Amino acid sequence: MTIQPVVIYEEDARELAQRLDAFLRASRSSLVILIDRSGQIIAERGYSRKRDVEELAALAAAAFAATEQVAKLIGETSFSVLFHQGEERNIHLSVVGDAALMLTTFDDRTTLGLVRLYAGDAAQSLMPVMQRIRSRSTPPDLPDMSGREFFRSQ
Amino acid sequence: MASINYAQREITCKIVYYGCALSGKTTNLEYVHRHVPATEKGGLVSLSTQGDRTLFFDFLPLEVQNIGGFTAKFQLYTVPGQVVYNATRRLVLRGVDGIVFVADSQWSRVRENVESFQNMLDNLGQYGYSLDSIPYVLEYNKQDEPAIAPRHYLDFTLNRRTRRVPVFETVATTGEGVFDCLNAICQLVLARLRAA
Repeated sequence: MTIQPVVIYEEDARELAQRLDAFLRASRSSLVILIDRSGQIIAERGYSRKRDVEELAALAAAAFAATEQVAKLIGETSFSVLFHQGEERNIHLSVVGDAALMLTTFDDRTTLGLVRLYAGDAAQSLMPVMQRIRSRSTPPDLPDMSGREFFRSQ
Repeated sequence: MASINYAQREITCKIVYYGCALSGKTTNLEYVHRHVPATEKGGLVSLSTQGDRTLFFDFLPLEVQNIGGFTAKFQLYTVPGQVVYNATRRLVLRGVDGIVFVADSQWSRVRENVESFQNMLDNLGQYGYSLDSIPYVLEYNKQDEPAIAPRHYLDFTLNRRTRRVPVFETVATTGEGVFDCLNAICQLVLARLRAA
């Protein structure tokens, strides 16, 4: 089986941003990241330091995958929501269909209940866009990068 | 799973360093992390035990700008080599775009290399993936050790599929061959994306 890449065009990015912004406003959260199950970022909105977000996405996807295995060990197919409570900031992780996760960070300006409530709505609104994105094949106009030295030891 | 984002002009790929315990997977990432410019890397995340053995994975995000108008992002992962952590090894392979199989070149580790390679095939199979469609390279690491198996023997045990793949003889502790290997897998992954 060939692993098909996710292809995101401007129109997709705009639609995802609109839906994620609406979720951020309604839930009063600070950051939301839409993550592919393999740990790659599909879209992000809210405040973040760019590089931290990549690490956050990779770790969250891994944590979710591990928890999914734990669920199977106790006879569940999956846990649909993960919640991590901190002193000041919290993380809410929920599924968007079978291919993506939505990670939300929030603080005491909102509540877990509110985030949960709107996360469910947001997941529903994101699914048609995700299905469209995932049903595409790779576009032909990628640059030729053969023979390129990407990294050099310094 | 690779993503191509035309809105942000970004291509993101996942590369996994696989191999038996103590073959040098984490050492590869540590060397790369120490020797790429700060503008091209994020933090190295290591989920390891107190004894510094990989528990879940190591993660290093790299990026190169202005590649034909795109930013190419490569997310490097290692798997835990110890046999007991097979479930987590399998999780890390999810959505993999390219693999560096890190073999320990010492005679005494030949069996572990072969078992680890077979374990990788089995774990890929669990997702319906096959090495026939995933770009990969072989790294014969620890070339500085005194009792290493010759190249042709390592090829005989590991590079014997229908498609022969590039091989790199490395010493990850000093960085010898590490960047050659990294650049090769990056090229192969992007070439595969382009041809998909």
